[in-house]
Amino acid sequence: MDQSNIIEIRDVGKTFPGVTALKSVSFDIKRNSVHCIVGENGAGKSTFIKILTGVIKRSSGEITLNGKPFAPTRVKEAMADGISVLYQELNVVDELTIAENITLGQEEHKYGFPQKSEMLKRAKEILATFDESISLDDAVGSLGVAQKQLVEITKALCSDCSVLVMDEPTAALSLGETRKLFQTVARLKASGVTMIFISHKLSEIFEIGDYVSVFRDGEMVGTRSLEGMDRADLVRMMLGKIVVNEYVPSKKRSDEKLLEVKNVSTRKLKNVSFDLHKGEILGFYGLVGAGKTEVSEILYGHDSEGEIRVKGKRVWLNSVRRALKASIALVPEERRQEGIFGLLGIRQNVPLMRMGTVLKGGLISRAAENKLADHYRDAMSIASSNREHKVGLLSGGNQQKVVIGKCLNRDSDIILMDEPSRGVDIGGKQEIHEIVRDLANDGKSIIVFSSELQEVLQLCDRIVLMYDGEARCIIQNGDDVDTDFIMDVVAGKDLGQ
Amino acid sequence: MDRIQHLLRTETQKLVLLGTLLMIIVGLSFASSTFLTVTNFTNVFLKVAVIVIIASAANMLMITGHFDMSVGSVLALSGILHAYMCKHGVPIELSILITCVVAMCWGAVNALTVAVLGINPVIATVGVLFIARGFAFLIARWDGGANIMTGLPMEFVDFGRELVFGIFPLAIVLMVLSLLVFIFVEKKTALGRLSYAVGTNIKAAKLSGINTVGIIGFLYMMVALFAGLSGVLQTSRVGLASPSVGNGLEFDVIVAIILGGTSMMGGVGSTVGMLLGALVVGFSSNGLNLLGIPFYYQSIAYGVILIGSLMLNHRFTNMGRG
Amino acid sequence: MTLSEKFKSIAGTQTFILFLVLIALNAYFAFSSEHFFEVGNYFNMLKQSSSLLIAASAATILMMTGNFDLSAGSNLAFSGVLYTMLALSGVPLTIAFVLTLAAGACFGILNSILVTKWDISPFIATLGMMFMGKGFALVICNGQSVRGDLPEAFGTLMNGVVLGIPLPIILAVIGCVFFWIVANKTILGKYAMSIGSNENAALLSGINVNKIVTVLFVVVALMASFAGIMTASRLGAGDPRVYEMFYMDVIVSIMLGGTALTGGRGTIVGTLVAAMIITVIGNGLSMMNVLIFWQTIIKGLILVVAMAINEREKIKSYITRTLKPYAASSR
Repeated sequence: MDQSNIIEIRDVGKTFPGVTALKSVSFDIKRNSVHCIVGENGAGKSTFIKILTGVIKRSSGEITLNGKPFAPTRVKEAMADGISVLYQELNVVDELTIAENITLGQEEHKYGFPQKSEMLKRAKEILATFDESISLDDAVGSLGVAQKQLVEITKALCSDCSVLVMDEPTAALSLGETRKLFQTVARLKASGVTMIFISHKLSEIFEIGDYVSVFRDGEMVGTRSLEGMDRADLVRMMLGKIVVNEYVPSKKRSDEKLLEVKNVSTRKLKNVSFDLHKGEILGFYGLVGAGKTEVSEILYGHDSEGEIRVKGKRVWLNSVRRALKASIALVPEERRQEGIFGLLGIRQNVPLMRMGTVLKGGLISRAAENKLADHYRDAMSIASSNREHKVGLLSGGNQQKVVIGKCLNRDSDIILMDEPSRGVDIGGKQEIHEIVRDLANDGKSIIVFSSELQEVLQLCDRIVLMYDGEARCIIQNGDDVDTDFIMDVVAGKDLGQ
Repeated sequence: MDRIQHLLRTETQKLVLLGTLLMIIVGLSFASSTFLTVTNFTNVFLKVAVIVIIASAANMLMITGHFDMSVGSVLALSGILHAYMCKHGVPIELSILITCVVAMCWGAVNALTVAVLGINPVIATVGVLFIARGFAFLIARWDGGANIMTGLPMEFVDFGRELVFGIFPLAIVLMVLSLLVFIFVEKKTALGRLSYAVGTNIKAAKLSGINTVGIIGFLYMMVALFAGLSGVLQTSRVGLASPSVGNGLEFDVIVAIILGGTSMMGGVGSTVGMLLGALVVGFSSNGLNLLGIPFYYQSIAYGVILIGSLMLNHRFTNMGRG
Repeated sequence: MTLSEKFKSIAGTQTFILFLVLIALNAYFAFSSEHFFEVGNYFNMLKQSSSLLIAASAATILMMTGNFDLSAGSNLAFSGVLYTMLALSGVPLTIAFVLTLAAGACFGILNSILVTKWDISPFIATLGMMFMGKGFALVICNGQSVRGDLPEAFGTLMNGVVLGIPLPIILAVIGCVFFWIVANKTILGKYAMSIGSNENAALLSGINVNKIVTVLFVVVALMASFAGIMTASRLGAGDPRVYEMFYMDVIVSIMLGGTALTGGRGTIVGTLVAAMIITVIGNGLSMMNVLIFWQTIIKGLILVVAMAINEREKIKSYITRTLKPYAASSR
């Protein structure tokens, strides 16, 4: 088999104003292989893929494709050179048929009327090799996710793609569908297509990958052959050195069960059960896509099947207001879109979840507002000299503190924090951790959802390990905690139960 | 000194408006001999009064990022309904009460289509715009003519021409009152604060447990109520109820609000700014009138202001948004 | 697909239900009014609605992309006035016709610049254009409707008869069939649907989204302009105040026809049936000597009901969500 390099990447970097998203990445992709790319969120994978597929332009470095310099400026150019992408969000139009989707944007037409094209003939053959049960005239809207992917793959193959980039293709697939996709991948490989496969599910990478490149913090940590590689080694490469600051158990932990979740399922979650004790910090850890966010959603406004109890009482948390009423509050993950009110000042942001705290006789008291804003500014050490400062213009860490302050002001018993320190610098991170710690010591119960192991190990009393929509096991944190075991579990190793 | 600098920086738009207003007034006093008369000023203020009464509520609504195209129709219907009821023996106080309730029902319909169903307000409020206008004409017809002007009881007109404390026309008093109420709402109440929050980031507002549907819906009902009150007031003052009155009033209101610095995307704006905007609208249309310039140039200017303000918004306020 | 399956899939659609409503309305008016169910009256109705049918079917394609042109009504008024004035001043009708369409197309170009280049919401951008168009229509004619010694041929467009069928009906049929073909058989219609359904997919497939949207804005403007010319021809005058009902009719037709304001869903046939429903109601009611104001009210009501129908899923899910705890506790 031809073992030459199809793509060579040399010192490719990307800087956005003020941020370096990718630092001087170099590696080779072998022809006719399945090359996996792994890394946690923000590691620079998607930036790299966008550069490769012409969505954005690189700031520095060289890429050669088939020995020729390659610098696409538009998606169409990359496609013309044989690089196609299967995106995570499906890019098919539900209202059209499969045939129409495949030709979308590349129709041969006379005066605007589409003509019978050769392309469809090929498409029919290609599609038949994948799945004989679907016909080109079916409406895409009636297909399942996996079949929609087949449509996209077919579309890519029709435009002579030699490199197919798959961005988390299995994220929305069931197990059976994933099997089918892997058969497709094997078939594509046999027919000479090179694949770049991005996934958070390590078992998949070991199953179908030939090589793996690990990205971390905007850098490429290493490229290895997957043959003979150990799963835990890969996880260690992904996460880097884990420096765990000393874990201090929460002082007011009691055995009283504040929140009980029993066998809750959604489309993504499978029979998730756990308890939250009063005064404890419970952590949810898993790689991206393991279902942490979904757990936070079923506790805060999303519908689910199963039983949830707060303080022993059955509750339905399928609207935000019901969750708040059950004394649950959320610090959301997407701070800018879901957390802050950017055009308003700190003073106006803080009381929004519970206006009662600044009302005197039914009216807003400026004095009470100032006091409250100053209180949280001090308590969280928000670095802003002025409480009128527009929150949209604060730094990420300070924005997060405002969001936490707003949430704390609600005085809920249970506080959910989804990625509480994402996009916050080291100093800010430490401060936010201290705030969480203090809260637990004040008797609040907190659930932290995080994809940073370090954060979970440092903060949480107990940790729920998630893999593929399941709560695989719950471990007690302590000095003797076994990080290798954690990595095995979140990497999907069977616990043998 | 710092305070003055701060004010200069943050209140530029209001200062510009104030300057424009002064220029219009000074310019018109030279250009037209009838401008500086008591009658003319009363006329301007009465026109401004109607705009301000409705716009004070509509301003708060626009701060949440929504607006109401049906105010003109609701005003017309309310005026004519009130006149019809008074003419047919309903006591004047009861009639006003019923009219206000009916007006709020229209607001509720708007609230339903916009806040609950989530349909773009430009389209959604058009339904009420037409239904209310149709009923206004229908009532006039039931009464037997194009307008209701004869057979109205004496108290009917008395109410509209009443001078509070013997000097202030009721319209002006109501205008000042509605302004004060909404300055108060804006600065001192939870409703005001939450409206800003909804307009700034509606997703975050929902996740913070703010009752967005309730707030938007309530404001729609308030806008309709104020439109209804203005209708009652206008009819009573003139002593004539016409179903075609208030045609295009929604544009006066929207432009006054935008000129006052409120963003159509929501989250920014103030009641005081709106007052200045309404004064500019009132005086400039009066000026056009006095100088013999046809009214329809105003329509073009409105279009330019609307689009221009959005272009400015596009450039400047988006960076602070969530 | 067997015939019965096909029938079932058609019978469930909103368009089919609208069609039944249309038939029921026809039957009702035929019984209630003696002159309704006559060929002459149907010709009359189609004649009246011809400009609406053409403009609304063009606007439906635009709406499939998730855009809307509120300025169509004032464009119609402006074009009607302009055409009449040009005709009055002795410009040959063909040239007047072309000049008017060119002026009308400017609305579309400006709208599309505001929407695609400046990212302004189409509803608000075209609302601004609506003000301006209304103003311009009044400015060029000094606020008066334009009448006078118009050439003979001025009225031909609306009053002409070809093979026993009034010309405007033929124009409407041609227009509607044309736009139906564009929407369902050409790549332009396909692209429009794709943009409204999944803009990202359209972009990644290499479709020039801005170009398609621009083209459609211009087409809608041209059709509104053409409708203005037809209206002027029917009235034998240029009236700057005709825009209001027209813009309402277009909105109601499209909303009732089941096209989503957010794009991606919509049928020309639905729009046309909805437009005919409005026309039949209007005509039938006036046949029964019901006051014209009722028409306004009924149209408004139809609009509100149409919005509720279009968003029925939302209402349903809201209700089930809210009631869940009560349903579970009563079990």
